[in-house]
Amino acid sequence: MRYFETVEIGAKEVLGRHTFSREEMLAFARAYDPQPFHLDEEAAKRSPYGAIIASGWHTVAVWMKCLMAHQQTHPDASSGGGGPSPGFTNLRWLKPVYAGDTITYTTEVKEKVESRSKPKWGIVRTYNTGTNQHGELVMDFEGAAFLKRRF
Amino acid sequence: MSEDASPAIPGTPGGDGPMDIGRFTFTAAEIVRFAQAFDPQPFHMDEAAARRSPYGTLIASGWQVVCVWMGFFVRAHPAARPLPGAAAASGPRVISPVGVGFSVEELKWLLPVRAGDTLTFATEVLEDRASGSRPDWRVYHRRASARREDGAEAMCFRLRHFAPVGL
Repeated sequence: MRYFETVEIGAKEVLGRHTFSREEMLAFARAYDPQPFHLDEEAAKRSPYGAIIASGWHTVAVWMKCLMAHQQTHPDASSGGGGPSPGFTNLRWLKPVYAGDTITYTTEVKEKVESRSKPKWGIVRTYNTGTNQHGELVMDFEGAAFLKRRF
Repeated sequence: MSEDASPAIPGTPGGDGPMDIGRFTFTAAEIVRFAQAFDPQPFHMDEAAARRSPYGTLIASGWQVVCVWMGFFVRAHPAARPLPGAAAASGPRVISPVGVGFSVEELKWLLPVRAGDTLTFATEVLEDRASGSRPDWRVYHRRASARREDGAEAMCFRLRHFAPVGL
């Protein structure tokens, strides 16, 4: 069990890697982002990207999936999470993600803040990234999550 | 109301404020289905585990609430609707109805969304300007939100994106 007190500022972890298949990109886009350049090969060819790209929300949702999988296999990891999140700031989509791209996701602890309103909890602030197989940063954001304190 | 704002983009600036784009009931089945794919925490997946959690009931992943907003935002654009009959075969008339997002400055998950809750999704343009790099595209600064039946906001965020105009 991880506690607010045991999380170290500066700890950086690779959460996992995910290869985006065409099928899952299409399934996500049909449900949540049905723009033709996410769904239709011919339309995507006429877009500035030249081929179907993943919805930006899909590339972030997979960061969450990787965080959860990482925490299951590394219960003592110091990555943020573990409690509810009040939200996030400065999410940026920097490069398109194409079918077949493999994205490596990371999280880094930046700051720990004691919660004034919830004395049994602290807030851990994190910097989170996704990087493609060419080493290009495709998305990043600053996350936050409540973590239980150890008393 | 700014003269050159595209009426095709939902929630034009200086208009009547936020524009509702859809309503969605978060059933237990929908909550679990999303959680299995992207956010497998016990209080999103399992009724019994959720009862033992601080929430006391199954709640939706915050990411699901955002994704449902996006689905409504795209479908609210008239150009996102399929063309009727033979015209459909010639392909979509607009490649990118609501365009491409650059960034979300601040997203807040304000209240838990419980199984059975119905949220109303809304959007509002805070500011828009001509794109420096692409003629016929504009850069939008937009507020997005989702509110419960009692009017309380469960989620909000501010999005920057650019989108084609006059389509």
